[in-house]
Amino acid sequence: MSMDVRLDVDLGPLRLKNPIVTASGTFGYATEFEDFLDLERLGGVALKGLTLEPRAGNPPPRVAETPAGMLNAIGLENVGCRAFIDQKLPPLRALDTAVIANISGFSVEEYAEMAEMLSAAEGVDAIEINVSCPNIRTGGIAFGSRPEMISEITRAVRAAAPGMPLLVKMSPNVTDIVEMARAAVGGGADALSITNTFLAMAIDAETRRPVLGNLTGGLSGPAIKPLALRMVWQVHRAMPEVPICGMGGIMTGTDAIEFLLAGATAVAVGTASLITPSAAVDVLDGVTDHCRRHGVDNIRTLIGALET
Amino acid sequence: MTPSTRHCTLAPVIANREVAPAIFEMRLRASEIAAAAQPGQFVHLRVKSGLDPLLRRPLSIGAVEGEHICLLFRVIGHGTQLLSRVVPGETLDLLGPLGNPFTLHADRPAVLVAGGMGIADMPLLARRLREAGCPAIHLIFGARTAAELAWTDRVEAEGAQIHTATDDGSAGHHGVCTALLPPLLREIDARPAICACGPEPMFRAILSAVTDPAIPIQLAFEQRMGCGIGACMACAVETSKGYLRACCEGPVLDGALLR
Repeated sequence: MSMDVRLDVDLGPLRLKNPIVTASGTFGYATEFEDFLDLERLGGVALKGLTLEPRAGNPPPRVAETPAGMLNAIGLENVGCRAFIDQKLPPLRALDTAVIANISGFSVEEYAEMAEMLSAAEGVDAIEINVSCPNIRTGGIAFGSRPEMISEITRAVRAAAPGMPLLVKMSPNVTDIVEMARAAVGGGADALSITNTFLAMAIDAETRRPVLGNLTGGLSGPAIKPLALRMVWQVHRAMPEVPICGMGGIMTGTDAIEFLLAGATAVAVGTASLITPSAAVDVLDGVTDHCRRHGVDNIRTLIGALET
Repeated sequence: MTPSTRHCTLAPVIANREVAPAIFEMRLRASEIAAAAQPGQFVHLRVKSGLDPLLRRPLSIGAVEGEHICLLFRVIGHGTQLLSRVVPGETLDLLGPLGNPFTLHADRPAVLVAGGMGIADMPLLARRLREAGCPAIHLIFGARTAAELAWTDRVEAEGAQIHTATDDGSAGHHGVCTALLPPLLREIDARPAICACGPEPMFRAILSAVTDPAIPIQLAFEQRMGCGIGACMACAVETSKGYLRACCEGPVLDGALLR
C-alpha cells in the first residue's frame, strides 16, 4: 500500500492543498484545460496576466522555438480586468483550487485600481503582481528592475487590497535578484514568484531578420531551469522566512522537487502545459511518487532541504 | 467544435513515406481522432519525446480511413526532418482534433484552392463535400513544380475536377494558381463556395479576385503555434475583428474578416 504524503503548503497566508500551481501566461483562464486535467487536483491556478484595459497584444510571430526552450512575445493580450471578473472568473468560483489573478499596470495607480477591483470580486484567492513582463515597452520590466518601484507598487497594491494574499513575480533580468526580492518584501509582499522569463532573442540567418514580431521575447522552458534554480536558492538563502513560488522550466516531478530543495514552498508549471495540457497534474503525481520513494511523509520537510 | 471530442493520445505510426521530393505522407492509428475529425481541423503532434524539439507541430488531418488518419508534411526544419525519419511501429503523441473546421456549403459547387502544402487539407474536405451531396467539386492546386503536386490523386478520387498550376510551368498553368480562379468562376453557372489553404499572398489574390459577397470564402491559416488549445495566444492572426487564434477561432476563418 502506498503511504500517505501530506502535501499542503502555506504560501504566506495562502494555503494550498499541494505545492503545484500553474504559471501565469501559460494556462489561459484555466477553463481551456478542463478537457485534459482535473483543475481541482491543483494547488492553484495563476491565470493569464491582466491589464486594466483589454490589450490586443503584439504583432505575430509571437513564439519561437529554441533548444529546450521557447521565446514568447505575446504582449499581454488579455480581456482586461473588468471582463475577467465578469466573464472568466465565474466558472472558477465553484472550483476547489486557489485562483491567483496576475496583474500588470502601466502606472502605480493602475496596479492599485486592479487590486481593488479583484479583491472586491468574489473568487480571487491571491494577487500576483507582475513587475517583470519583458514584452511591453513601458511598465513591466521597467518597474521590475528598479527596487524603489517594486516597493511602491507592492505598497499600493497592499493598501488597495488589504487581507489579500500578495505575490510579486520577479524579473530575472536584473543584476541582483536578492535586492529586488527585499524591495518586494519591504513593500508588503507575502510571497515571491521566482522567476519570470529571461529577455532573449532569436534570429533567422536566412532572412537576416528577428524571428519574433516584437524583435525580442522572454525565454522559458527547460533551458532556463538552472538559472531559475540558482535565483530561488539565492533569495531563499538571503531571506529563508519568505515563501517562494519557484518556476522556470519545470517539466517533471523531479524538477519540482529540485525547486523545493532550493527553497521554494510551491512551484509553478509553465511552458510544460503548452506541450502537454495535463503537465501540472503529471508533475504533482511525480512529486508524490518521489516522496513515497524517499519516505517523505510531509512535503514541507523538503523545502530548503538542500544539503550544501 | 465540441470540446469533449479532443483527445491526447499515443498513436502508432502505420506508414511514413516520401510521396514527392521532401514531402511525406504519414499514416497513424488514432481511432478517436479519426472518428471526430472534421475537414480543416488539425492534430498537434510531438515529433519526439524529450526536450528538443520542445513544442508540438500542428498538421492538418488530411484524410481519414477507418481508424487511421493521414498527414502530409514537407521537410523544412529540424522538427520535420526528425518526423521524416519516424518508422512504422513508433508511436507519436497527438493532441486533437483541434480547431475550427470548414463549414460545408454542400448545396452549391465547391472550389478548393490549395497552395503548396495547403493541399494537406483537401482530401478530407473533398470527401465530406461529396458525402454531403455537393453538386461539383473543383480543386485549383498550385505548386513549385510538377513533382510537388502531391495528393492530387486523393482529391480526384473524391470526384473532383483538378486544375493545376506550377511556378516553373512543368505541369498545368505556368504561374500562380489563383490565375485559374476567375475563368473557373465564369465557367461555373452558380455561385460556388471557396475553401482555401495556402500562403497569405494566395489568400490576398483570392480576396481580390472574388468580390461577390454571395460567394462564401473560407481560408485555413497555417500559423506558428504554442499550445493549440487557446491558452497561450501565440498563434494570433490579424483580422478586421482584431487578433484571432489560429488554433480556436481558426485555422479556418471567414474570408470576410481578412478583407
